[in-house]
Amino acid sequence: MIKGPKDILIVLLALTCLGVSLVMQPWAELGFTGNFPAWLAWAMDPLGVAKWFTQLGDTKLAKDIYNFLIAHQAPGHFGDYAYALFLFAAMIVAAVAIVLIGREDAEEKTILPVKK
Amino acid sequence: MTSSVKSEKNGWYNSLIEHLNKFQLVIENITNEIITNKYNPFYYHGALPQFYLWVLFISGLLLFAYYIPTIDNAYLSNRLVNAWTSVRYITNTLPFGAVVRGIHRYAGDAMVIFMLLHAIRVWFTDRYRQYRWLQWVSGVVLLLMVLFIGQTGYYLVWDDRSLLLTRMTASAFDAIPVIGGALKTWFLNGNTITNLTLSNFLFIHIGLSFALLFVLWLHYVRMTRPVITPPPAINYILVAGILLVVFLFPIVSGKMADLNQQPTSFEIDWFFLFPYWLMAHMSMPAFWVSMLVLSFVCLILPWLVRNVSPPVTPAEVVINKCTGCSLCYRDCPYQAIEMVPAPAGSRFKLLATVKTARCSACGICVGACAFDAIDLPQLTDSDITAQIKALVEVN
Repeated sequence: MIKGPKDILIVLLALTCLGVSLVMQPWAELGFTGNFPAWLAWAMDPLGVAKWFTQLGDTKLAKDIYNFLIAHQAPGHFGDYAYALFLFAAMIVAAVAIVLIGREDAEEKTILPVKK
Repeated sequence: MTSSVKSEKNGWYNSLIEHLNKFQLVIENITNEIITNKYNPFYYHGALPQFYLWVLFISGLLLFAYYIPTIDNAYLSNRLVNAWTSVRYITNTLPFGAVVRGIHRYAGDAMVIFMLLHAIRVWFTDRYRQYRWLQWVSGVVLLLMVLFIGQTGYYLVWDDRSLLLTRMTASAFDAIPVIGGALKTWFLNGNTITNLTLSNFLFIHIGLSFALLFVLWLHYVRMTRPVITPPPAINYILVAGILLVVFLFPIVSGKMADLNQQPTSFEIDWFFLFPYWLMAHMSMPAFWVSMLVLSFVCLILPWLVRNVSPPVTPAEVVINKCTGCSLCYRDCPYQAIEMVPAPAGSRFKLLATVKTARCSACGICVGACAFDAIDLPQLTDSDITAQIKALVEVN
């Protein structure tokens, strides 16, 4: 079924998309305005990675991002900014995946006609 | 003799161009090794600013839906609704509003950066003069338009910086002899700053943005296959870059503009507002003279520098052999070939003719022609065959 590196990349990309969608879902449920630390904690719980953080609802990463945005005078809707950050990461992953998958086709192939 | 004297005179210039080209080739090759030539942004440098133009159009459309171009609204004095409060609503209340505003702002900056990089690259690769002069001149006009559109974007926020910029611009227009008063009145949409002023700013901002499309058409009109869209992977990275900057440097407005006060300083955006820095540091006549001279020199650059590469000797059609098949016409990258009705008595309907001013002597038409009916006078088929033979013998 999986024949080569291309197929592995496609599966990884599909899993990444699924993961990002799951992370985004609670944020959407909170009406796109939710408290960012709570949103991240909520997202982490079903993914089973909440144990990586100090305690539910008080994740270190979420607090860091929240504090960074406040220090930079970002207006309300911290969730929007966090979403922008997620989208940034997702787009970079997508771009790298496209380049890797298309690399083989992108290599220049010059075929010289040879008369036999 | 004259040409060799000129070459010596421009020796330092040619040497600079040569070094820049070598440096660029090294960077290009490294990039090709990493991400292949298909995704190398150096091959899409003209398409990058255009991609950001689409981003600006889409994000601007979203902002336009909620923007109110007034400085005051007497009918709603209890709950003031004006440009500044509408921008505050977009930024603080509207879902994604702050992000869309940030994307709009930073896409503008990115567009200017990529336009400048594009201009620098076409300059040192000598792709801006002779048969490409129209692309260069229209490109300079595009850059000037984009800079002015960007500046009007700063007025629209209507914070204390907008007020100061508006007053500085009105004074600058007023200082121009003869037409200055009329320009100021046009700019302010009257003699003083009123609600109509902001309507005018919005009109200029959006109207000129659409006028860009016409100048873009001029920019492309002499290219058969312009590269106007980067590949998806590059697009993703371009948007991702903007999103990261939006996150790292959130956009904030200043205080609401108050017509009874005169702000004295503001945070400068060097991409769009550098003329205001000049305005603040020199007299008004000196400012206008330097702006006009700089713009004029940029416009006539293709005719200022002449002998980096030899002048082009255009292709020539061999009338007796041309069958009017149009293959050369379709393949020419610069639309330098025109198919005209064949002369009376010909067996064929059409005849290829070369528009000499547009011909780059690239030889693509020679390769396209199946009847040996088009030649480069300085590089005939027999010359090329001799060169190939010589190379084969050497190797």
